[in-house]
Amino acid sequence: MYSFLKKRRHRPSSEMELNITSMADIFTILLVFLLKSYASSAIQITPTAGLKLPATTSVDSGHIEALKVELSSTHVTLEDQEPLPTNLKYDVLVKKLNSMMSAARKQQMAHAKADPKDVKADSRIILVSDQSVPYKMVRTVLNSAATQGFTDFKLAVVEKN
Amino acid sequence: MSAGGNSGGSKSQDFELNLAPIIDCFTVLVTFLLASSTFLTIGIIDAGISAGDAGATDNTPPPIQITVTMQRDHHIRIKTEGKLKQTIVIPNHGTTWGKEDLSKHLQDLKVKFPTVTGLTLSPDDEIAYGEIIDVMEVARKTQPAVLLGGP
Repeated sequence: MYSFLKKRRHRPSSEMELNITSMADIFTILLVFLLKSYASSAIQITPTAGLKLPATTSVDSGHIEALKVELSSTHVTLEDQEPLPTNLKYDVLVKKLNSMMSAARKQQMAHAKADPKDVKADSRIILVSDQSVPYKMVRTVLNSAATQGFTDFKLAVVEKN
Repeated sequence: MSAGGNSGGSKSQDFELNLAPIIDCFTVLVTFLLASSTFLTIGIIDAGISAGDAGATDNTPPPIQITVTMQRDHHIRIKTEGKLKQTIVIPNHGTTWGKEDLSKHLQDLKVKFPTVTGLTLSPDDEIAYGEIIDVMEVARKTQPAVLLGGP
């Protein structure tokens, strides 16, 4: 028995041991990198699938939270409201847009009135628009926002490095 | 991992940290972060429709007002009013905008009128939003306050 064990001990082992220390080092570096790049955007938005934002190097600094309006080639969406198709007749589209903006403004004013110390009516609006949308549509949405009191326009873009 | 200790003592203080559960935690965290991060940094550009911009009326009027018009045929027209009245037309480069010429002309205006910090960008209705942002990027290098106006 003893001789058998002794003989076995001298045989080259086929077991492989993974070096976990270097793996922990890699994971630590990955974790630090991901945590650092996690929330560095100026705004937190999740554009819908297929929406391509224009890219630019010239952006303004600072973190902004404001009402967001998303404009694709087919729809206009104001935060959580129902998407509005853009192929409507111009007058109908403007009327519906004004109604949506007005509702959002009234809601904002109501919040500001209920809690005047912490909440203030904000005139900022962030336009999240596809790069292929014609300017006519952009101008229609911004004009509608301006008539309802959202006069401080911010354009969401992808920051080029 | 060794924490050191006296080798001659009766009770050894050497211990080995079990890295396996730490690796497990790291794997879960890295997977979660990879799945939830976008790797695209969203930025913001300030803009405004000239008529709706209240802040502009508070300051003393600038010596010149610059209006940059983007035309459907990719020509850019720079019109100045006030102390300097002129119109410059920048021809297209095929189907692209003459952005280098635009930058050059705006820099010349900046040298002549250093107090002017803004202009109104007035694109044609049919021009794509992405192209407007491209021209805006050029204009913002010399005139940081670019307002969007109507055609």
